Amino acid sequence: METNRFQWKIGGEAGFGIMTTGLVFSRVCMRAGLKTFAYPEYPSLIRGGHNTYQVFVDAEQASTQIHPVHILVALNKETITLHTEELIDGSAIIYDPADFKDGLPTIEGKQLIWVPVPMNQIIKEREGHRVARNTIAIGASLGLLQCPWEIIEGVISDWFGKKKPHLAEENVALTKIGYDAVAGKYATFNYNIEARTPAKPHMVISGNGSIAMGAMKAGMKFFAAYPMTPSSDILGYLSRQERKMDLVVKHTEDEIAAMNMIIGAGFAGVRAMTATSGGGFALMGEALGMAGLAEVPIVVIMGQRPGPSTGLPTWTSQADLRFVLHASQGEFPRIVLTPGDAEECFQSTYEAFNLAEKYQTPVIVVVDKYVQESWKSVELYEATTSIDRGKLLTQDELNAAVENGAAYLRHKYTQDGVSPRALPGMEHGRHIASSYEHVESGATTEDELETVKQNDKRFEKLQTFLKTDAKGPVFYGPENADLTIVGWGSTKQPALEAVRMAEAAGLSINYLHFIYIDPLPLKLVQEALRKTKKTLCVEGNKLGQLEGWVREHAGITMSDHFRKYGGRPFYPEEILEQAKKHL
Amino acid sequence: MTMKLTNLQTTENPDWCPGCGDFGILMGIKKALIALERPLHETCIVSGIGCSGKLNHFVNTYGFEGIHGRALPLAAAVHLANHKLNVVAVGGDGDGYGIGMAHFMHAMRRNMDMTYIVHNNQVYGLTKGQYSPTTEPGMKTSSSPFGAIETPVNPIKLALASEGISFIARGFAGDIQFLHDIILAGMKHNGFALIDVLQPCVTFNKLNTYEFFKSRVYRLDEDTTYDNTNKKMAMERCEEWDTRIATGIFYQVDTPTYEDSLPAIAEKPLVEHDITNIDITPLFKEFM
Ligand SMILES: Cc1ncc(C[n+]2csc(CCOP(=O)(O)OP(=O)(O)O)c2C)c(N)n1
Ligand code: SF4
Repeated sequence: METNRFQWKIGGEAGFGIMTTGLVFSRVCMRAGLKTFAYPEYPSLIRGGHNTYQVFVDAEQASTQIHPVHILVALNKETITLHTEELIDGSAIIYDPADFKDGLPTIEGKQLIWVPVPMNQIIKEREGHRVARNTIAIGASLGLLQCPWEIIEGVISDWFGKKKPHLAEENVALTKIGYDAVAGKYATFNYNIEARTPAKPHMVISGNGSIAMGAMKAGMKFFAAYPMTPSSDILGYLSRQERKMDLVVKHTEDEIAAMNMIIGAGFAGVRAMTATSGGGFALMGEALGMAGLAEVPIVVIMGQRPGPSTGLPTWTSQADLRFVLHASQGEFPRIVLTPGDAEECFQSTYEAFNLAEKYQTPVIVVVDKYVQESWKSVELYEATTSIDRGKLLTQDELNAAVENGAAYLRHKYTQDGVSPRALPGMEHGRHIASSYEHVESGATTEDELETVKQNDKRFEKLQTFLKTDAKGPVFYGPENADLTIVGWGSTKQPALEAVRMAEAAGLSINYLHFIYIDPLPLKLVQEALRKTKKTLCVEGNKLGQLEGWVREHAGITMSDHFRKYGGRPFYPEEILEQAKKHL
Repeated sequence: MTMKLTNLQTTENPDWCPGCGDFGILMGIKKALIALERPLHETCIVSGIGCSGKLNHFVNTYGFEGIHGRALPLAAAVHLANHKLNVVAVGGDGDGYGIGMAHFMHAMRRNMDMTYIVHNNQVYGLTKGQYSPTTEPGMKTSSSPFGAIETPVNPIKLALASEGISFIARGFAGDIQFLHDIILAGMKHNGFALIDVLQPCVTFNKLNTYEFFKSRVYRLDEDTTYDNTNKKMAMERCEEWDTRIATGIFYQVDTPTYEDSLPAIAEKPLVEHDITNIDITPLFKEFM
């Protein structure tokens, strides 16, 4: 019996309630004390098209989806034909014979366990809605896994109970029917759940949810955005929290407005953020530079999906790193962070607000569909640092600063490049922020020397950042490994599992994870890479964007690379396979 | 202590062409700020890019000179962040009715409490005289050497057609006294106030000159038959152009503002919220 490590997958047409079902399943496993990682795939359609949701469950660590599927819930025939390859000997398929009137597909060479559950008929008898089939399927899946019934019942009643108690009752009943239809009847099925008590409480949350929480914890009070996959859920979630959390959330007329609005709010002293994807970020480009020049703190969430242009709207990609690093005309300091999983999405977003205010410049958090829309079980979030608003002046400080008649200078030259900041509404702090090059006061200049000095001043902030706040890449797995997988952003998710799989196979492989991309902390990067023997840079683009960035700045060439750019995320198995080739 | 014009002086001096209508608007704004009797640090003037966009460099309040066409979203958020401020947006007709048209339309729908002053010189000044969205058809400019083809935007009519905006006015840069009255009324108005200002560009617009306007403009407030809560009447007056041109408040009503529907700022401005220790733990339950 393989206990507490398996992968479950459900598939069907859009509109079948697949996403909710997957979340409920994750939550049951989470409450059973297990780690979960859920990954949805769906086309850019509202109805129809093939949707799947898969949940990898493990007692110790679930950071990714894996290749084999141990339970496949097939709400239609396509789910089986499209995912046959993922089934292994001993996998179970839960299906309703009524959906397969022309017979089951023949799958040769695999010992599969077919689990028929008459879901349609049960619904008909109870006059339920078609999506309630999913509820029965959850019951059947968990029955197969011998999950304690009380946990399931608790999750289902909580889920539906909040809004409609009568729905909770009916759904508990339906789940139980599915559960009983299967429980104890498939002795050959070799995977089960043994509930454990986790040391700390957990929740199941997406990258997007984590970003939103990080922002709220950081005191973000103003959010403006225009919907765009994969970042739309941030707008949706924050809109729902607007009243409870005292926020102003603005769905704007376009991304240009969103960007200009957060700059307006940032200038006026409110922590502000936007979230978008490549197309929207392109529209924000011009204003991004203005924030850099006018030294306005802002936080931008840039969620990648495959481009160019509209590309593959609902799939994943890591091909916008260079775009973010170089966006907007001219040169200005920016800080670019690339968190790799839900926990890091929370931490990086939280931190982004402190950095934005300390260095009075845009901070861009680069994520992607894969990390934003996958749901992970995590420990409850806590901030690891306190709020730091940098050189934001209080009225008293401002009064003192101008005591002997000195004029307040918004872009005053200082040792660390950061100038004390007064906000509109403060007495004695009047100044103009400007998209023109300026002198210390904010007044326009075209003087060569002043232009150079102000540029140097702005870039000095990055030197200060590198000395005080920047962190180097982090190793996961054994020290001095024979091979190091190098990645940024969501590559962390499958890479961590690849390292684990390597360990189980007796291979010496570790992972080096980059979050601080720009400015690149050179010394720390060189130090880390010096500790590697062979490196395999794994990233979701064709041109090797991080690989090139590291080569350009740190002068270090990776031994080899593994790149994917078809819209799909990396799987740990394929990373391991590539790694083995280079060992 | 009453404020004087010198209190409004900055270290920068206008670099507009001598005789430019922007001087009249600058004076109108300064006089309105004096009459408003609010400390200068409570006003923030946000601009776009153009000859007009430089205006806030010459008024000693808080200011933000943004990018071309984006003064309105920038200003809107300054206002949402701190709605105690007197927020004024300024820009050109190219800025507001050309590249920034989308923002203008949506700003009107929102009816946030701010004032928007458009320096409408019917050309692109700063880029040296191309035709603009308000250029009269047939006018020859560097980008319309055979005469402008498009039908011009009538900003007042557009605003009247838009639901939401609660203050619609037109001023003339050559009538500073009246312009100051209109701007002051706009600043005092609770809601989005559009003030389209007829602004002669002495360098690039040889058609819509001071003389052109002086012989045509009249003041709506001197017309006792005019009712500025009557949209139909306003619609008729805003059509006038060839023989006479109305200035003054076309339309003013008291309607709810955008921010009236935002509980987060009902008690105090967003910027005054304490963010040092925000409790997000109640949010976790939904995910457990
Ligand atoms: C995105 C962008 N496009 C073009 C320009 C160049 N540009 C600067 S001002 C301007 C037009 C100015 O005309 P208007 O807005 O009517 O203002 P005016 O100078 O007449 O006051 C243009 C096209 C720019 N700054 N930014
Ligand atoms: S070009 Fe026209 S609008 Fe610009 S400063 Fe000269 S007169 Fe004024």
